[in-house]
This record gives sequence, C-alpha cells and structure tokens, in this order.
Amino acid sequence: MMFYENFKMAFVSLSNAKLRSFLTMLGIIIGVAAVVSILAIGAGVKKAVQDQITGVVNANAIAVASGKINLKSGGGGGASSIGASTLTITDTDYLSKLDHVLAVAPMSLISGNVSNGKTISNSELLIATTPPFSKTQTLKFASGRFINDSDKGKAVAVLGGNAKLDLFGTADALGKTINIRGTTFTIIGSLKTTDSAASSFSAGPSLENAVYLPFDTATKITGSVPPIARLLVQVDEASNVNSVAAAMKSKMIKGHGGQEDFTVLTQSDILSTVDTVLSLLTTFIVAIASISLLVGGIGIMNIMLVSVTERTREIGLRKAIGASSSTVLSQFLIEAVVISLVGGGIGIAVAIGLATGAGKLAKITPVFTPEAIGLAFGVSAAVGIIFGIAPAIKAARKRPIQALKAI
Amino acid sequence: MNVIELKDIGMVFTDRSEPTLALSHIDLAIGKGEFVAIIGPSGSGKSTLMNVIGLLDTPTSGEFYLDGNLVASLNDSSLAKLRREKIGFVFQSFNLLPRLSVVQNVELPLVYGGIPPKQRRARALELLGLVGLHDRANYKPHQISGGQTQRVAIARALANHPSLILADEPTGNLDTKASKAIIDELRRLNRDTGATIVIVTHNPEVAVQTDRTVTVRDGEIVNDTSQKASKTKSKSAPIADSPHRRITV
Repeated sequence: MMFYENFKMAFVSLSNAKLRSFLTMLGIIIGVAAVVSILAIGAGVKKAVQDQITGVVNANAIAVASGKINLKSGGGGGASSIGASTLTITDTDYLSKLDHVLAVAPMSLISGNVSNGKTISNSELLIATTPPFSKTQTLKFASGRFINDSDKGKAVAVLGGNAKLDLFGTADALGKTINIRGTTFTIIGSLKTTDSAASSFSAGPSLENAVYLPFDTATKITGSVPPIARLLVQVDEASNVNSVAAAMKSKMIKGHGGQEDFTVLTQSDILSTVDTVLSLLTTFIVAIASISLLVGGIGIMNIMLVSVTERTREIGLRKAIGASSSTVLSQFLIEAVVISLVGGGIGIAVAIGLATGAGKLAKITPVFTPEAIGLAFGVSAAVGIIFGIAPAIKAARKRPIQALKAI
Repeated sequence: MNVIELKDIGMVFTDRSEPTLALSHIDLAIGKGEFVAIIGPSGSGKSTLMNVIGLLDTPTSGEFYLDGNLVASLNDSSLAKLRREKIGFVFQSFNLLPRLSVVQNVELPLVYGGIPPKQRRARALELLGLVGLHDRANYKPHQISGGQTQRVAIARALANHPSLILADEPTGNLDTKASKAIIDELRRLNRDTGATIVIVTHNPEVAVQTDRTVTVRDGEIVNDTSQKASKTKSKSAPIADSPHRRITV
C-alpha cells in the first residue's frame, strides 16, 4: 500500500515540476539517443563493408587470381590481376578433381561494347563464366536467374545492377535483348544494386557494371578462349576451405612449373586485410560514443544537483510532517527510476529515428544491437539514479530542521 | 504524566563560525491539555527550544521525555510516527511544499498515515474550511498571501488529530483581527479536544491569551507563570517588548 502511495507521490512530484523533470529526462534522452544511433550507424557501416568484402567470395569458396597480389599492403586488388593472365583452362581441369571441390568456374573479361538497340555503351564489364560462379558469390537477383547448364553455348546474358540501369533504366530487363560484337543476347536475369557506400572497399573491379555471358558463347563470339582473369572454386563446406586452398596452391605451383604466379584468396584472407581498417573504425566509433555518453551523464548530473537545495528543504519538511527517512528516499528513488526509464525509452526511439534518417542519407542500413542499447540505457539510468538518490540520502540523514534551513 | 518533560536540556551549535550556546540547562514540564506560550526576544533560543520539543532537532545534552518515552532512544520510524500522529507543527517559514496545491499540502500527513484518497481529501477540505480557505484548495502556495499560507499550515497541522500542537510565531505575519482568530481557534481546540498547545511568540499580547507563559532569554528559562513550576528564576532585566509595540518579523 505504501509503495503504491510512494509511486503516486513520485508521479505527482514529477508532474508538478514539469520543467525540472523534463530537463533531467532530456539529459538521458540525449545521452541514450547519441550513443545508440552512433553505435548503430557504425555497426551498419561495418556490416556494409563486410558484406561487400564477403560478397567478393563466399565463405565456402576460393578465388584464384592471376599474378601475385600483396594483400597486406592492400595494393591493387583485383585490378592488377587484369592483364596477361597466368591461369589456364588446364588449371580448371585438375583443380576440379581435388577433394572437397564441387566445381571450378573460370572468370574471363572480354572486350566489346554493348548496344541496347538505341545507344552503344562501353561502361559495361563483359564477364564470361560458367554456372558454378553463382555458387561462389552472394548474388541478389532483382529478376530472373543466373546462367545454368542448359544455357551452354546460347546467347543469353545476366546484367549487374548498374549495367541494367544503364541499358534499360528502371524498366524490367527480363526478355529484352542487347547486342555484343554482332550477336544478339537475351537477358535472362538482372541483379539488384548494392549499397554504394561500401563499394570503395571492394577488392576488385566493381561487378555492378558486369554483363555475364556463358563461357562457351564468349569463346564463340571472340573466336578464341578468352584469357582467364580468375578461377572461382566452389568447396563443399566452409570448414574445408583452408585445406583445399593449401592443396590448390601446391597443385598449381607444380602445374605452373614451380612458379607461384597466382594468388589463392579465401574469404578470411580478404577479411583479414580490412580487419585493421575495421578495427580502427570500431575504436573511433566507440570513442565518439563514449564521449557522448559522458556528456549525457554530465547533463543529468547537473540538473540533479541544481535542484538539490530545493529538494533538501522538501525532504526536511516531509520528515517534519511525519514521513520516515525510508519513505522519503523511496519516493525520490522512484522518481529517479521513472525519469531514467522513460528518458531511456524515448532516447532509444529517438535513436532509431536518427540512425534510420542518417542512414538514408548515407545509404547505410543501421544495425541496432541489444548490447548497444543495453549499454546506453544502463549507463544513463545508472547516472540518473545515482545523482537523483545521492543528494536525497544526504538530506535524509540530516535532522529535519537542518534540512529545512538548507541553502 | 507530563506530555513534555525536558531535563537539563542543552544545545550547542557547532556548524557556525564559532560554537554557539543556544540552550542551557533547560528544565521544563508541560502537562496534558495545557495552553502555553514561550516568549522571548529574537535570538533567545525560543525557536530552538520549539524545534527540540517538536522532534525536529536533537539536543546536545539533557533528556527529553515525550509522553514518558525517552526520545533519544527512539528510532527513525518511531520518530516519524510521532511527528505524524502526535505532533502538529506550524513553522515560521518554509511551511508548504511549493509544487503541491494547497489541498495536497494539507493532505500530506494523511498520506503518510496511510489514509485512503477519498477520506483524506474530504478531511483536508474540511480543515481548509475550518481556517476559511476552502475556495483556495487548488491554488499553489505562491498564489496565496503569507497569512493565508500560515492558515493552510495550521490546517495541515491539525490533519491527524494531534494531541500536541506546536506553533512557531503563528501570528507573525497576520493583522490583529486574523491574529485573534488564530489564537481563538487554538484556544477552542485546547478546550474542546484537550490538545496540548505550545506557541512561540515575541508578542506579549498573544502570550496573555494563553494559560501559561514561559519566558526565555539567552538560552535559559527566566520566568514561568505556571503554579507548578518549582523554579522561577527572575532576572532583573525587564521584558523588552511593550504591549503596544508591534514587531513585525
């Protein structure tokens, strides 16, 4: 019964001091909103980067690039591998015979312009490959499908996100035709565009502008087997990737006359190169979030301390009228908790709005984690409660007349 | 048994620039149903004495028995219970909680006493009617005059039917007519309910309306008009205020 009365008293007290309650809550709202939205946007950026990276090759796939790429210095990426190729179809043959290897897809670049019947474009990247390619990448389709075994030798094509926009605008491209090097190709699929913000982290040329053609068809229209830029190996399980990669390396060194003129890349290889960058990013984000948490905490503390004098007198008077110390303290505690919880809740709602809005501007999808919300909420609530209660405890210890005369 | 019994009470304030002796060797007994005025010039210690009696402050030496119970031996919640149920205190200032309405202020002792909302609201309005402020029930303290604040404080002091009413300068801010009304009301309470009433005042006009006057000067009791008082210290210096001089604080 008494608890309920204290609760009501806390509410009466809060609603009768609307400005003070609001200012206190504001400190918590700002602290929580700032921290949660910053962490959410940061997590969103990290995820976008990681998605882009892992999109280069899946967890259960291995890429073999022509030439030796030095990943540690972050140099060149895939671009340096486009040139004289050291990979051949023979590599494809013996690699596909390795244990745990399901398939090997060659990836070649061919030259040519693309015509949509009205204009000729040269911004597209013409990629010749085989069906297993789609198993080694994470391809998100807007419509249609990738090249499959029944398309062997046929004049069909799959468009990357930007390529489709460039050739056909926002209209659906399925079933339409394009002309490459004198041959008409029917579009059997087109991919979605991905977050552009993370594309600068891509470890290769942007596949947004790709037009995928069946390998044998490409051989036909160019008159010879196109030079292979990359081999994409589909492994049965992600756990076997490292052993297969090692086996591939030794096999290929033998096959290339003792030369390691290629680079074997697993997803973890690529991820580890950007790990440093991602760690730095994380540290930076955490630092900013901590500062805003500190600022929010100071704001809460300030407003609590400002009202200490007034509240000390109030405590003295309540005790003189007949409230016990514990009654008064539980009233103040409830007030502090209510303000902290309500402020925290509003702060989270504001954070979701802020992060989503900012994310739309920057083309990042924010990621809200329970840890981020818990941290912001917990710290702000703790500060609100501690600074709400400490002066009250101090005041309740005084003799009533002392508290009444507080200045 | 006496309601109030003070034995050799002393009070030293150490939280000032130099230790101040506010009360010294106070022996005072007040019986049930008495109507007492404590009078003295400013700084005499009369308010300090009142604070001790009202359980608002703790004396640095001596013993205080309230209804036969040694106050120093009581714990926090027992003291709170006494303040709530036994004592009605009217302060000189800082009487009302500024953010609560008048009626919410009057209700407060009843809230702490666990009285349900309907009943306590009814009682609070009844008390406000008693002091003539029924129509100000929903005003905030800053919206009423000083005198009205005092009357609200008196209404609140009566909330729990206290057997001991203590008033520190209850008529300090009031004109003659309102003063008389307050004292008359207090006397009526004393006669009708048998409540023990102690008033602190510097105004002898008020003091003569009570049954007994205790004079305090320099922290000591220098005179006590009660027949029961065994010690009556008379000092040569006359009482400072003349009956016709009004002092406003």
